[in-house]
Amino acid sequence: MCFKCEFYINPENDIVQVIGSMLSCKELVGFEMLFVSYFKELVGKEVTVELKNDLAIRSILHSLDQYLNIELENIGVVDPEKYPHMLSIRNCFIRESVVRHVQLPPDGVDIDILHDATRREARGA
Amino acid sequence: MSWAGLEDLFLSTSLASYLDKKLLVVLRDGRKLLGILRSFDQFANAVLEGACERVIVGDLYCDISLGLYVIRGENVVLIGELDLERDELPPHMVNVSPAEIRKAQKAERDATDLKGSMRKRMEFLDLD
Repeated sequence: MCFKCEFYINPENDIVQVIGSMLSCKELVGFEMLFVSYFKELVGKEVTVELKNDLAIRSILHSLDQYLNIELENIGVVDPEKYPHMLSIRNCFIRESVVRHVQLPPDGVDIDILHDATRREARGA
Repeated sequence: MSWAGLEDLFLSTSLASYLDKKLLVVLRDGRKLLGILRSFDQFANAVLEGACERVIVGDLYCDISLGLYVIRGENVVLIGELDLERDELPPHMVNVSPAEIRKAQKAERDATDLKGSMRKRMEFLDLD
């Protein structure tokens, strides 16, 4: 158990579980968890999610899970005339497999910490 | 630790908050289904009760009733909660019968087919 960032290893199955922010932690965590924790830092911030069907949604990031499924609240579609059916939707769930990219706020995340965390993962430290 | 407990801890995004609400599900082929979410799993497989498909062609729309639907998760693009206070569609859109919407759909498809074949015929000009 690491008390700095609230992730711990489940004694039953040795799976590392993250509760809080991980980027500030110096302990070892699995590589794919890096992006989950990266995005967890962005919860509550405004992001633009572009989907593979070209639909782009600007909204507050509400939550995400280990697959990077995304939940947004108070959504605004970038091109509302083209997508009239999206007008009455306030909160939505987006499946991970259809996301093309996510545009982040410029002050989104501390690049230095992300950089360090990535190098540490790559070294397998 | 029980499985449910682990889920709670790990999965902060879950469709649980959408259960028993009226939703709009957008599928990968562009179809839009409306219905009440009764069940789901980690793949976003979903059961919609009283499902109907909303067909939109230009300013015309039609809800075609389908019944109980089980949607395979891989086809799901987006699941949206309908805000009952807002209009479902812009006020200028007109509700028409299924027959009319099928006609409009066919007309639209023919128009795009024609556009495609015109382009093909003009290819020899090498416009670039």
